[in-house]
Amino acid sequence: MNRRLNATLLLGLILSGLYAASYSALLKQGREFNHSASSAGIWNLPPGALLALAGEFKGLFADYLTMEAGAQLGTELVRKQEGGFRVVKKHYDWPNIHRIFQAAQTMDPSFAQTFIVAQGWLPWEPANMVVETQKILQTAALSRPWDWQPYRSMGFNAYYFLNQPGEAGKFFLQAANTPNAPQFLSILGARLAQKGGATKTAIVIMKSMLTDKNPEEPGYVDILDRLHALEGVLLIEQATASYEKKLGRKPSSLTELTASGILAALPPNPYNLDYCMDTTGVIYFDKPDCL
Amino acid sequence: MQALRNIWFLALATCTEGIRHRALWAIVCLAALLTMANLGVTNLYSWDLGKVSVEFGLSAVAFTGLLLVFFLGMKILADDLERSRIFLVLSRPVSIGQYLVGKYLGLGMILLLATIILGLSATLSMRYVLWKYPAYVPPDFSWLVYVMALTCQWLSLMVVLAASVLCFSFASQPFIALLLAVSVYMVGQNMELLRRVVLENPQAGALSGQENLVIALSWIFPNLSFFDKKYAAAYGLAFSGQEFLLLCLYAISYSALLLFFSAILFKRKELA
Repeated sequence: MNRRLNATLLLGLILSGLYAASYSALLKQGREFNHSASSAGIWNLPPGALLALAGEFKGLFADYLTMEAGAQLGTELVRKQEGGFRVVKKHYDWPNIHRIFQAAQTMDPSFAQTFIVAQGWLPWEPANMVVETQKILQTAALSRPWDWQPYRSMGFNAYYFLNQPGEAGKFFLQAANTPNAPQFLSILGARLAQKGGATKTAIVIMKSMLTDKNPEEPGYVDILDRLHALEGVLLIEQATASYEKKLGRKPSSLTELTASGILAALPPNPYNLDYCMDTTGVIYFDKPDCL
Repeated sequence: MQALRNIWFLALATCTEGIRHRALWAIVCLAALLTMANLGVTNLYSWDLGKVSVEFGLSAVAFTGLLLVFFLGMKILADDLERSRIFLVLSRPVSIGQYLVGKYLGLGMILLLATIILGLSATLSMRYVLWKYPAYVPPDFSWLVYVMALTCQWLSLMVVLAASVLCFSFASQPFIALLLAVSVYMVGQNMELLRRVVLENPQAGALSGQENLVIALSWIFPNLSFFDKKYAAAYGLAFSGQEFLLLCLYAISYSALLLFFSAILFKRKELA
């Protein structure tokens, strides 16, 4: 009887020891590989597999994934021994966070939370993922024809991060073309597009915008003035190109251009300023000092 | 006429049996919980709160409906066999076809009741969210589209129920029938995805060149993704009446066809 009891106790002790050793080893491993654990998830699956897995609950999956992205982006606090908390410099796995946003967009390309949070983090230091952010915004813009914000953000990124004023202008004009977009977008877009050498594009987009607007609408006259100014710029640009083709160089000033006879006179500027050409040959309609 | 009466009585009896399972009480509790959860979950987001609320509400209806089909529905069908109650029914002038249609309609009534209860509770929570955060209501949001999406959800459940009845009619064990029904549901949810991947992508891996097989499969399995209108309801997208009518027609014809085959297969089943 005693022998059987001893054997049972011994077996119990061995099993308890095994359990304690394996569980504590697992916990230790979990602590060591904590950050790699957070980079593993369903968002690493290919888009087709994700869609198949989500079935009819794609929207809920997208909600969960944006929340996961938010959790990975959030601040990490650690309890101090003396009490209170301190902020830890967190290691952000940007490619992984980008994959989460992509997965969320695969599930629900229209969800605003995805592109707004992505825009708030990905193009900035230290992630520097401007091109990737533009793709996310492009998907959102195509899926949300009622929303001007994705194109507005694309315009901002093109101007601020990529230093492409012409592209930025096009994006702002596309944003201005969406319903209920603020008036300033068309003015800003036209200005940037022209600055970037896309005057023709700016004119076409502004004309298309005017066809949808009521002349009595506030801001209509502002857009019309801007359109006329751009048409003036385009006329001068075309004359400058002809001049260059004929004489093999750019005109040094607008006076030289009109004196050559290629352009009889400068077009009227609705802003009551003289058109101006800078040293690189760019034409302006709103530069009073013309430097 | 007698056939219709038999079907009606069977449907009523099945519905009553379902209610006696206290499933509806569980659904009412779940509805209350989901209503509260909807309010809580929506507050976790900063944008598109209307979308989150609508999608959560409709997903709750879908999820509960699936639980009812796979567990309550299959249990009611299996109980008839296991407790030999089916012999009581079939010993009367009731055909196997009438028995299956009656059971199907009775379970459909339970699903309808559950969809109405859950749909109403989801509507209440959504109304609250949309009232509290009017800035986040999608510009073209329509309650009509929401009701149509809810109806499509119920139609989708009816198709899954018909597929479950078919699986039950030939499977030797209720558990196998359950597994088959779940598989049909999963295949049905991804049928459209598979069809599009194979037809629109020339490099579809192992399925390249198998377009005809995939097209054939898409005609055999239910295409459940057509019924998924949560996205349209959540963002207030267009959902035409014509599409809605076509979906109703598809659900009715496909379910009727499955019940027809179920009756044929059930006659061959070893009941004893």
